[in-house]
Amino acid sequence: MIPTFSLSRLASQLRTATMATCLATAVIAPSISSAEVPTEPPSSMSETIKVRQKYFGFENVDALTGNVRSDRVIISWLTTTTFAVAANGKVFFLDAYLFQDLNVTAPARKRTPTTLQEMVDARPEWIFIGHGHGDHADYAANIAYRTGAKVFGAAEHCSALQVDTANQFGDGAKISCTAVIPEGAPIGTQVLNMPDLKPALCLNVIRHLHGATVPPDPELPPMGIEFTDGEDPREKDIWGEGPAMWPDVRTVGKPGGDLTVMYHFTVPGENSFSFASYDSVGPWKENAPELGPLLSAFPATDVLLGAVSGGNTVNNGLRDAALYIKTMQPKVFVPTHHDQSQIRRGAAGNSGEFWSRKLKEALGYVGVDSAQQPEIRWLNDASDYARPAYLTFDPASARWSKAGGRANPVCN
Amino acid sequence: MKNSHDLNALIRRRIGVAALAWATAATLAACGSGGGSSDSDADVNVPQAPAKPSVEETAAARVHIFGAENVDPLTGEINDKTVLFSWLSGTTYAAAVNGNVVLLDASLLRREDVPGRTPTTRKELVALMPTHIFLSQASQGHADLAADIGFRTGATIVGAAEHCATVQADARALFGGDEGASLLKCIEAAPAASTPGDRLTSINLADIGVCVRPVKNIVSASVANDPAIGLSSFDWGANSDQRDADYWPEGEPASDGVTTGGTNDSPAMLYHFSMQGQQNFSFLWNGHAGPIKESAPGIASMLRQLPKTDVQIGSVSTENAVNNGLRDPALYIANVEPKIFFPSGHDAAAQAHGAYATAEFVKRALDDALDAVSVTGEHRPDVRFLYDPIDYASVLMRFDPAAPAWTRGSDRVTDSSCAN
Repeated sequence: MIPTFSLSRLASQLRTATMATCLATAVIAPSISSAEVPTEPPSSMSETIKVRQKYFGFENVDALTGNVRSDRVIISWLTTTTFAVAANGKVFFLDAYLFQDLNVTAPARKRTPTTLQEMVDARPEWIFIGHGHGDHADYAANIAYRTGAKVFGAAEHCSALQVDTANQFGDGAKISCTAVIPEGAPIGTQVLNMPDLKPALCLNVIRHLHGATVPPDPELPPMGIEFTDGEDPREKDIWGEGPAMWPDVRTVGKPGGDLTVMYHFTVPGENSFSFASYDSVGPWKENAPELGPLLSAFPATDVLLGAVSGGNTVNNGLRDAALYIKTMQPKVFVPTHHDQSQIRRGAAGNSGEFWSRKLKEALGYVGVDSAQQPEIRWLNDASDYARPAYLTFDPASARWSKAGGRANPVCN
Repeated sequence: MKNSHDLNALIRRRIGVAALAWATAATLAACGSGGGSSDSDADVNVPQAPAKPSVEETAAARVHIFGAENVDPLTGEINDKTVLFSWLSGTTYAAAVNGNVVLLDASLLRREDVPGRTPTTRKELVALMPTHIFLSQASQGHADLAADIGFRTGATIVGAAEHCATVQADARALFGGDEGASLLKCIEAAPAASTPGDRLTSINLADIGVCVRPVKNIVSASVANDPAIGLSSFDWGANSDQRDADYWPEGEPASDGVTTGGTNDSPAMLYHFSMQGQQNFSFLWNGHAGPIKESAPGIASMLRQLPKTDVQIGSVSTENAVNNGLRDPALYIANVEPKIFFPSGHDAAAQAHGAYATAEFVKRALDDALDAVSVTGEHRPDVRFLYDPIDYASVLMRFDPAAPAWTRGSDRVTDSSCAN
């Protein structure tokens, strides 16, 4: 195991001029601002190691340095479309939000098994924002400012997050945010082989579209489902309730609220293992048909983390997710967003088995028969939160070989 | 990827009566009455082993059970740099160690001819081509398929002497008298009528690179409430998932009639496994959690004398739950001191009481029990719960035996020589 990421180096980076303002502000600021916004930097190295062991498995984290083994890609679901990721030794977040981050009083138990403070203590190097709504970006500015993490998003996302930063930390406070898509870029805009994460990872991005309701697809059998379908009635008795932990840690959500970006990461190596994440599933068949050919031509994706629920679920079930899968052709598909969508719309929760079957049905309807379907590694809430073993991948496995298959040519 | 288990050679090989000489003093019992051995295809007096699964069948089964990332889809070879466990229901797990498949128990809950709520079948377990089958008890729920799989694959069964006698009888019933039984190989890891907690001889399974330390165990039983612990009862029948019957309607039970004649009077065993060579990784599997505090304190002593354990797969199914919650599984954990703990048997226990998918509640009861027996701080393992049926045949239990994390300053000493 050759760690490529050093916490001491991160600490050094945090001392650079760019972050000096951030840290200085954090040091002199009260621990909780008047607007109930936490402002402290990460607690301690020991807390960083502890939370990284929680997110990535203790056997994968150096107990002295906190470095995560660099020969695995480890993905830990933190709710909705937020994931903690360790890839090639780099620790980062996809989106930055926690669903039901509630202040639950013992002996009741909190359903979401992590906190904003733990996300800060994890000391991510990067945060990738898929779109700007609160259930994807509420915690982004807070974490970025307190840790020095660099944020990536569309130009509009960066604008909104700078407003969030000022709102939470005072006028003049800034975070580092890189616009991967220029302002006003249309759906289908893509940037390949970005240099920002090299040499650790290669990055490709494409703007796609946010979920939306369209009429039932006349070319397909009816497959609309309600968000309450399949719910587990025991859930409300199992988990405690309470007020939001940090109601003032939120994003203004605009501009760029529904402007959505897909991120595609490749681990350099013989197999060019790749994974991608899209945090909203849009009806591109009707609203952006130009996107289909672009996704079909996108570099090969081994593991696809994708939203399966959205505004179109009631009319068209999981059709839109099935179309993303059909075009992206991943070997493994991992669903997201279904937990928050269901509970927010009145379901008790934990309807994974029902939705999993609906996705397979939808795949069949859009022409992806069972022999062609990817391995669907369904995430069940709440049992799959912070369960890294389920999404740990060995990029060296021959399973990810691109020989004879779709190519991933832009990361060598 | 290397596999010490040549599938093609296995397919060609005729399994003789077991008279293998093990490197250690482990007792190898020829369970059948045929005696002798032969590798000659021309020897018509030797009973004929059935045809082995094809390489394609084995590859497909291993991909399903251990994950496509870990298995060569053409040859069935398993990544020998990884230790894998796959929960198959109840206390039955398939494990892959140094590229070899071993079964821990051999029974499937709600077994059908086709995959159902339990997503595998007897035929698929045969196709895994295990080298060994370890038995925690020779009874229904633990050993139903042991004789069948052992007969069809040539896998060596490991159990107490009584277990060997039972699977021999099963083979007679299944495969035509002594001739069929004579093809079974069985290692007697504990002599007949030995006492729970007795020190037993280690077994050096050099061919799969593992040292096995067996311990005579006891089965679960109810005892009076332990006032020193003070745990309340746990109701296996409560909190059932009412959706389960719709998701997983009862199918037709397996039509092959394969089962064991063993009963719950059968003694129990548990096993500690140490990887040999440069891999400082070990695991322990106990398919039963009995009331060792009252009934067999020698077991606790023996567990404390075992080498360090990195991963424990332990039964949390206990009849004692009615009086003492999950105290007994917690006491096994307290004495084994694993770094990671996985449960087993909770699915079967719940279903035996008419409930389904109650893992979240079992998890909490185990948390309470670990608190009650003071397994705290650095002694508290990382409890990684398994949920049925979604975690059956999952990739959740995958370990790099060479990872530095398996070595801690507080570890017990491991005897790599496999001497007691």
